[in-house]
Amino acid sequence: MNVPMTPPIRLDAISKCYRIFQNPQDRVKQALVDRFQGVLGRKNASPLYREHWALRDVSFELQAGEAVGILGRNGAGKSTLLQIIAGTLEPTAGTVQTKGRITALLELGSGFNPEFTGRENVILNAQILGLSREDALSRFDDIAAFADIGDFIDQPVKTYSSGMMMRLAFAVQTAVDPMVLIIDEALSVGDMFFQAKCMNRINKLLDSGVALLFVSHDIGVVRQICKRAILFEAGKIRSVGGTHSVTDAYTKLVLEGYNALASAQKIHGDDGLNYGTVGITEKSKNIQPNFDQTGTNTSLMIGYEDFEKISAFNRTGNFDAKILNVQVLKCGSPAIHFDFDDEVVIKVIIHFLKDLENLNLGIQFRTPIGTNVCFFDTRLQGEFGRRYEGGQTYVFSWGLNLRLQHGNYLLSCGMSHPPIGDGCDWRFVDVVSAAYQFSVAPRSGGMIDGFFAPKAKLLITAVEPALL
Amino acid sequence: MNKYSINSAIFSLYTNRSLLRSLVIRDIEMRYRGTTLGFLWAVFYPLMMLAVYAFVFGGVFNARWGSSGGMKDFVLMLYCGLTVHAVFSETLTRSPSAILLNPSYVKKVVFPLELLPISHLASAIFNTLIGLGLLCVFLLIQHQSIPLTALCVPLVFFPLLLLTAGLAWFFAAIGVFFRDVGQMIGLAMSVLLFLSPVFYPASSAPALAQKLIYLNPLTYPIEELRAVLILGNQPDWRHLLAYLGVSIVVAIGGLWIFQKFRPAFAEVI
Repeated sequence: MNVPMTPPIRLDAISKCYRIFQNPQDRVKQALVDRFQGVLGRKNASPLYREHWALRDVSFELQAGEAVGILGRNGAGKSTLLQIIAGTLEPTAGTVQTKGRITALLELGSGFNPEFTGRENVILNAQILGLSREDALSRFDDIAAFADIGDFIDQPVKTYSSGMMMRLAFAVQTAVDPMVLIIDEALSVGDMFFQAKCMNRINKLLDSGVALLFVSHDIGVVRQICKRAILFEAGKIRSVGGTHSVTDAYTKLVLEGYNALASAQKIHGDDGLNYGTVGITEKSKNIQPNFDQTGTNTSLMIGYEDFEKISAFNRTGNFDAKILNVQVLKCGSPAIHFDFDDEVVIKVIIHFLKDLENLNLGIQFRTPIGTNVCFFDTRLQGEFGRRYEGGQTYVFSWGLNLRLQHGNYLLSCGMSHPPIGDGCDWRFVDVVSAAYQFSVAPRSGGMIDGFFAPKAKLLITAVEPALL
Repeated sequence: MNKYSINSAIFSLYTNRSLLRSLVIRDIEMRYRGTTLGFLWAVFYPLMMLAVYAFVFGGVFNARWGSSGGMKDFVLMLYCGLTVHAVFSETLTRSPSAILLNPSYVKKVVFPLELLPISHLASAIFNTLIGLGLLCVFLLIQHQSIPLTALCVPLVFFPLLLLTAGLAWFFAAIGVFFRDVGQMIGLAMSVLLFLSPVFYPASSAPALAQKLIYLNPLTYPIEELRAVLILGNQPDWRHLLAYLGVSIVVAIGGLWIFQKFRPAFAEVI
């Protein structure tokens, strides 16, 4: 049993260079030039393309039964790597050695033809992966049962929701006895129950010796599945090792990215900051020294660009005061991935254009489908009647523990004047329905089976039968 | 050694034959799915086309085959030409988009892409078989017999199919990079219908065109098909052999270019 075997995947110094052409025709022209340059005696004609190195000198091995997480920001080369391993792309340099059948869920619906029905796609897909038609037909019932999409199996795949597509693709890819399974950002589409079902099957496959390459931005899931992880940055391997250290490195990388953005804004303060119709650029430059309450090198404007981007979609109010930025800080720096019970500080930075009184600031956590999970506001904290000065910028900070179920959350916040008397109504100053996104990883000591786990005291005592 | 060699592609046609079968069956089914007449269309459609051409050329223009022969002979000869042209143009018209329309087979799975143009050829052959069946029915009605030389029909078709496959591979590969190819082919096929001896015998072309018409890839198959199926003559073996030689060169050349450009498909689509 313990004979050393050749690993299912061995990559040796893989590089991939994309030639970026203005249009597809130039590619053929270039090919002709490359071929006949010598014949014509004309050399060093300037190339018709730009080079883009998506991967440089990447080497690693994947062992049987091993699950490896692939992390990296967008454009780090993850997808290119997976395509090379799956065999749909040729590396520019280096060698790929693979053993056995490799199946891949690259984005959605890997290899489905949208015009074909689910049934036809299942059979064709299985055949593409190397099964005979008879073999494919005999496994169809199992595949359909796992995907569990009902009558849709006989509808064209183009009518499927992304969730159904993923179900069917996952069912096929895992049912054809792969040696290596590649999953790229796909599982997040399914509902919780199906995700659990997938996890179950993934674990079974891993136990039976299948190797898994798992790409996700969801650090929680990566930590749950993979023991080892690889972090890519700009086409190179930045770190390899245990999942926890690599995911931490990834988080750090993402935050550094934000920081770089923020410092770039500081340098180009005048043109970088655009507050629309409200002209408060001058004031906002002075925010940092006045209100930096926590860390040494954090800025209240970190993440400002993201905030502007996501808040722009749905924002209402009279804008007598404007929310400049919202941050959720962990250990003093803004973060988007949290563990259960993390101590966080939520900061809302608001610039007031007028003197305002009777003001309430509320915050909500919502799930992606819109369930309000949590709510708190300034009144709950006993904060009434404060007078805010026009022209001044304030930071509202809440300290709390994130005792939330794992998953993705949207933070929304809004400033408004509560009704003063009967017949009066709320008046909204600035309501941002999407202000910040964050995720909470599954609790390591056991899942939270509800949205929220309040802090509670537990007392267990034995009761005398006589008292009953 | 080479992952995308000509040998590997020919080998893959064999190893993936069950996949090819599924693709072809599906392609044919798809064409008639949801129609009331279903597979009857496969028979009805060519008959209608034949009726229209026969009416226009035989009825209105009063064309006859050579000096003698009636309207019924004209229809038989015409149908031979149409059948040969159909398999060629049907396959080639679809080839420029064969790869383009299947991005998921290019990017998401390791798919034997060389099958796609061939699957179109195979489903065109299905129509050809129906066409040949109809021809035999006409022959029986007309002459009450089918000449023994009809057994040579597969020999006449084989080089044509090789040639078509080669061109289909070529245009499938080129079509990925030059989208104009799709438009050009449609035009070329319409022109070819009239430049080939479909509505007239090759011998009735003007003297200058006599030589040029034999450069047309469809001339030999059309003329030979008429010879073996209707006139009961032996095929011109010398012509057939020469045509076969050219077809093999075109088929290998087309496949070579297809394999050459193939690694770039995923980067363009």
